[in-house]
This record gives sequence, C-alpha cells and structure tokens, in this order.
Amino acid sequence: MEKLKLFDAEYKLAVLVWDNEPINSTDLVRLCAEQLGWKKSTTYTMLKKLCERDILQNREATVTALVKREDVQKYESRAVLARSFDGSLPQFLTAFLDNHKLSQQEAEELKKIIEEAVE
Amino acid sequence: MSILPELFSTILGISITASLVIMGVVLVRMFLRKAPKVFSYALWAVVLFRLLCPLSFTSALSFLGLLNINPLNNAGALSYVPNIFNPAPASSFPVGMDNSEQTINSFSQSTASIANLSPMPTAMEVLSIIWLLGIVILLTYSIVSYIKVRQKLLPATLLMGNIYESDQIDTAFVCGFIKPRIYVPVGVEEADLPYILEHEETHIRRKDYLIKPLAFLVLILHWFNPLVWWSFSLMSRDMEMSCDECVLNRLGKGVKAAYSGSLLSLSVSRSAPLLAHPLAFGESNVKARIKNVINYQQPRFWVIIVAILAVGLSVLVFTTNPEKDELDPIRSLAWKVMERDIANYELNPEVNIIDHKITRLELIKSFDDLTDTPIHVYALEYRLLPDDLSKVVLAGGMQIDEDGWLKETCSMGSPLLLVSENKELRELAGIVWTGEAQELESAVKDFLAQKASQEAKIEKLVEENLSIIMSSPKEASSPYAYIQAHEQEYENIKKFGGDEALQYMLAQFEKGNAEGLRGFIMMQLCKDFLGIRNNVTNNSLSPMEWYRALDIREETSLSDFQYDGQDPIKKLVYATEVVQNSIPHLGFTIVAPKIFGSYEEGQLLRVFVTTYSARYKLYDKVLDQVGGGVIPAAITYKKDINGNYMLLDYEQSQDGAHWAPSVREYCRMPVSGQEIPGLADAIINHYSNYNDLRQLHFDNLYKHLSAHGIKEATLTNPQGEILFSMSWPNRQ
Repeated sequence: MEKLKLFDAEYKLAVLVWDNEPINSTDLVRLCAEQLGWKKSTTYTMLKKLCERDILQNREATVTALVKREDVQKYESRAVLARSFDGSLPQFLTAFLDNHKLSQQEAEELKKIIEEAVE
Repeated sequence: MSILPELFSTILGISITASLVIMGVVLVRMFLRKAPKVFSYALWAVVLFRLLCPLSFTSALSFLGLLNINPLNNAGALSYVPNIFNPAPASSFPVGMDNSEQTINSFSQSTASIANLSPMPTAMEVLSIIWLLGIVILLTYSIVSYIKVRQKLLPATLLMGNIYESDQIDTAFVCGFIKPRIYVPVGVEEADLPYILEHEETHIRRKDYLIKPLAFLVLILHWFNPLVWWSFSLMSRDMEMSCDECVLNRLGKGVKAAYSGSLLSLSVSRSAPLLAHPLAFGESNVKARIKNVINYQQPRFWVIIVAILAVGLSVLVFTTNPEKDELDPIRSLAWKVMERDIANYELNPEVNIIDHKITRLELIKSFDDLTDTPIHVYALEYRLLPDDLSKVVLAGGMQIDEDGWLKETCSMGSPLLLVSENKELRELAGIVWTGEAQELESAVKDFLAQKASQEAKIEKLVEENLSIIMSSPKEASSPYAYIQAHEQEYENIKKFGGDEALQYMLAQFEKGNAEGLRGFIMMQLCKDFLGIRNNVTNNSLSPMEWYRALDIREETSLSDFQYDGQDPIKKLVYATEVVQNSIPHLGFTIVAPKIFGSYEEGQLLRVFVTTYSARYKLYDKVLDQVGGGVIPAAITYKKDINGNYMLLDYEQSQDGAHWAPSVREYCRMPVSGQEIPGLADAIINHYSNYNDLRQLHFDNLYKHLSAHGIKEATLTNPQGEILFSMSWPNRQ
C-alpha cells in the first residue's frame, strides 16, 4: 500500500496525536498552541481536514489516530508561495523585484566566487 | 465630480516633481556606490517624502531651482501640468445675469436643447478615472494576495519565539504588521539558520517590514509612473544590501563566507529551474547581494563622513522647493500696473501689444513709520511692444526707445510702486510718479494722507448707514426686515461706497468684526457688490462662514472681438460694430452682424445689417453678460482718395412704435436716396426670428475665447440654464 503523504504542519499535528492519544480536543488545542503556536481555529481547521481524509478521528471531543505512524510520510514540498523576503507584498511585485531562484549553474558560479573570495 | 481630476492633477504634479528627484537620487546613489548601502537606502526617504507630501520647504539650494522650475505659490507640487488637464467646469452656476441695458429677451426660449446635452468629459476626467481604477485594482489584488499568504501561513509551526516554519514557502521572510513574525522554510540547514534569522531580525529591528509596505502603497498611488517602479525596485535592493551589511557588522567580518553561503543555499531552486520572469530586469538580486557581501569592507572613517555629507546635502537639496525670488510678489504687482497700461493702449482697437518686458524693478526706499505697516517704494520701468507703432497715438510724455518699444513714461514721469508689507502679504497701496515735483517722502506722505482721508470717508459712510439700518424695527422675524425698512440707507452704501466700501467691509470680516445682524447686512451688501464674482452659492451660510468660503473671482480682461476673415465688407462692418457697441472697462464686446446688402453709389458705400452684440466679463470660468442687444442699422462709408472706406454715418433703428418705420426710412441708396425694394421687409421679417444670428454670435464668442487660450467658460441665464459653454463646441 502506498504511504499516505502529509504536509509538514499536518504531520506535526498527527505526531502530537500519536504521542498523546486518546486526547481530549480541548487538550489538543492547548498542546498545539504550546508546541506549534497555533490558534484554536487553526487547530480545528487542520483537525477537520485530517478527519475528512480518515487519518484522524474526532468522536465526542476525543481525538484518535486512524492510521499508523509507519504508514505516513511527509511531502517533499515543492509548493512555492512567496519568493520574497517579505510576505506582506503581492507576488507580482516579487517577480518584478527579481527574487527568482538561481539555477544550479548559477549557483555553482556563485559558490566559486565565494570560495575564491575567502581564500 | 471635479474633486477627482483635481486630486489626480495634484498627484501628477507631485509625481513629475518626484521624478526629477528620483533621477537626482539615482545619480547620488551612483556616487555612493562604494559607501555602505545604508546611505543609499536612507536617500530613498527623500523620494518617499516627495511622493507623499505636496508641501515642502523652500531653499535657495533646491535641486529643482537649479533646473529652473518655478514653484506654484505654496505647494510642493510644482506647476507644469498643462491647461488642458484642468478639471472641467462645474456644469451650471445659478447666477443671475446683470442685464443692465437691453435684455435679449428670447435668450431663455431656445436654450433648452443646449441645456439637455451633457458636457463631454475632459481628457483629465477620463485619465483621473483610469488612475483611480488602477489604484482600486492594485489595492484589491494586494489585499487579496496578502490574505491568501496569511491563510497559507496559518498552520506554520512554532520554532521559537516569533519564528515559525512552514513547508509552504521556500525562502525566509517577515510577515505581519503589528506582531511581525519570521517564517522560514522547513528543512533549512542548521548552519544557515542563525544567519537567516539574524538577517530577518535586523529587518524587524529597522522596521523594514513597515517601510516596504508603506513604500508599496505610495507606489500604488503613483502606479502610472515607471520611474517610481524603478525606484521601488532599487530601494528594495538597497534595503536588502544594507540589511546584509548590518548583519556582517554585528556578527563580524569572519562570517562573510558562511553568510553568503546561506544566502546562496536559500536561493538555489530545489525544484525545476524557473524561467526568468518577464518583469525581472538587471542582475539577479541574490548574485548582486552575494557579491556585495563578499566585497564589503568596514568603511573608512572619511568615507562615512563624505557619505553623511552627501546624504545630508541631498536631503536638503531634494526635499526643498526653490526659494521664491524676493521680487516675485512685487513682480506680480508690477505686472498689474503694466496690464492697466496695456489695456489703455488697446482701447484703440487698431493697437495690439504683442510683447512686454520689465527693464527695472528696484527697491529705492522703505518707510517704516508712515503707517502701521512698512511701505516700500519700488521704481518700475518697462517696455511694451505694439504690433504696429504707427497706429499708437502718443500723448504727452510718452516715449519710444530705439527698438520701437513703448516706454513706461507719461507726462508725470515713471511710476513708483508703493507696496505695503503686511506679514507675508504685499499689496499695492498706490502709485506716485517720478515727475511729481516734490521730494519722495512728502509725495508718499501726501498720497497716504489722501488715501487715509478717503478711507475715513468710506468708513463713515458705511458705519453711519449700517447703524441706521440696524436701529429698527425693534422686532423682526428675519434680518431682511432691517434692510427692507431702510432701503434708502442700504442703497446709499451701494451707490456712494463703490469698490472701496466693499474693500472696507471685507476688511471688517477679516478682523472678525462682522457678527450677528451687522455681519448679515454687510454680507448682503458684499454679495450685491460682488455679483458674479461671489463664488459662494450656498445661501444658508452664516456671515463668517460665507466670508471664509469666499474666494473672489478675478476678472480676466479680454480685448474685443476681431474678424479674422478676408471679406472686405465684413471686415469693415465688424470693425464698425465693435467700435459702436464697445464700452471701455465694461467688458469685452462680441458682435455678430448679418449683412442684408451693400450698395455703392458714387463715393459712398452703404451696408445694411442686423447685429447681435453683447458685452461680457469673464470671472474665472464664469461669463457675465453686462449688456447687449439685437439692432438693425445702416452704415455709410465714404471712399477716400486712397480707396479706403471711412465711416461716415451709423444709423440704428429706433425703439418702440418707430421701429419698423425707422428701418423703412433708412433702406435707401446712399447718394440718390432711392428706396431699395424688398430690403426693409427682409430686415423686418428676419428680426422676428434671428436664430442664425444667435448661432453666429456664440460661434464668434467661442472663437474669441479660444483665440485667447480660454478653455473653460460658462454663461447661464438667471434661471441657471446654461446658454453657452466652452465644453460644447458643436452647439446647435
């Protein structure tokens, strides 16, 4: 069976559940606030998502996991959101400001420059 | 409606001014290439200030002054927005026409069709709407994309303090305005993290996370200006580089390699290499930044000193507007005097003054203790160039210089301007002449004494009549009752006070001595005096509110209409009709003659016309008709030995019951006196429907105003219906 793939944040939530299950949802909210810095609404949103995918289960305010830790793997994220040093500006501007990623070749060149300079 | 174009033209002015400053900043920035980038970064504050703030200070050192641009009176937005960009006229002004003489009685009947047309939007209106639309689109897009980013970052997980990690991003950044957080991608190398965090924390410490969005808002405001986009991009680069340098200063030069390595590793694409963005230009930012880090040296002391001086000087030079020429306000007073003289010359319709220059304007003496305010005496000499000197009648004392320019002199010599200085305000108190055979101080004293006694007389007239008006009735339901009870006194002020009484009462308002009933009666008097020059249409304002809203419309004086066609008969008739209908200083004259026939017999030429003539005054953008009429006439010319026609006789139709017989009486041949069959009937029949003449009249008015560069002018009848507007060149 192919392993279930979870995003980083989803995976961290699942880990908290595996470590503490069965856990009261109020306690989970508190735990997420402490460990992940999440607001209550964020926790519930994420929880609902994972419940919909039958990875977690929330019955009568008690959260348990439906899958085993071994069956899950983290996404190698390729998601690209903001390629800028500040998320407050829209993306077209980021493009305009030329913060595009370097190609391997360009990176090699720069690496050489850095090495030469340090020597 | 007109507030938007006005706002846009202000922004446009600011943008153009700022563009010059941007170029200057870019130049200085090149000079600061080797200096720490924080100086380049600081320079952009000047541009930000310029883009945001219409107000500025004046300085003799101003960069804009070096470029020889004159500032608008008080605003940082210098004025070079051309006239066509001015906002459209307010479409109607419910102002009464002062038809002092013959009223053109059918004015209001045929105007409904004109009033129904909606005015064409001006170029400025269209552009300002596009501008606003751009702002709305950019702002909406930005807010939406910010909310999206925030949403994606919600599940980012706490690393420590205010640092969060997320796998939805592939580079580190600061996000948030009130409690800014640092976000780093999941899986950053342990070794890189301290550098990345130091960099981001430096951004937070320096409030860059607030500065950049602010700069972006300003960019949205000026989105139409490519230079502003360019400077935003350069500013961002300077911000990053100076931030990098700040990190190096804190962590020590030893971390150069490690730090630039971190920059590099964060920028290497972990996915397929992206194609270069079409909007991107110049060297890759990361590359430039890495090079900057590697080449960064602790700046030498003198470099810092020079850079500080350069930035300081730039701030001074770029944020200030050129200092106004000290003589500037005096120059405009001198211009008023010259204008009066030009108008005098041009009373003769054959004289046209085509150029003018001030040859001397010099402070020759100041008197500090003659009146409450200091009086400065300026000597004024100027030259006026007529298009045809031979047409100018030279009265006593008038002189011509060797180049054919008229001098300022008259029989009393050259003018000396007496300028009163009241705080910032310079006013022309009066003129004395060099030829007045006495010593300057006593001449000025005499003049001031005369003026003071004149003012005392006016004060007495106004105050005495005002106190009588206010004395009764004992009880009144409205302040108008006082005026109705004392019409005689009210009329006295109007009749004998004139412009001086108006000035006196306005001064009372200025002093705040115009409360309650006194204020109300003075307001009514001022409104009567001002007529169409009163720009305040809201009648519910209290006297002081009215005064504060008052911005007296200045009259634009124009010459009379001139026929520019080739028809020799029309040329004669137009010239004659203008002379016959024109009254000096009472507006400019527009004529529209319909020629029913011209008959030459022997040495005489007789032309039969009906002429629609009217005199107008132009106040700001509002036309005031000060008299006019439609009158048939027979004009007789005599041919002289050179073949030129000289006016011999001008015979108008008579009024009332004699009207038709008088027309029939003059419809005769010039020499033999033989009746001309059918002519009188044609003239009399036409008089009952002269729409063609009205059309010609307004066509001529349009041509005349256009020829004088006037793009906005509206004429309304007492009902507030628009009779004529420059916005409708194709009137029916």
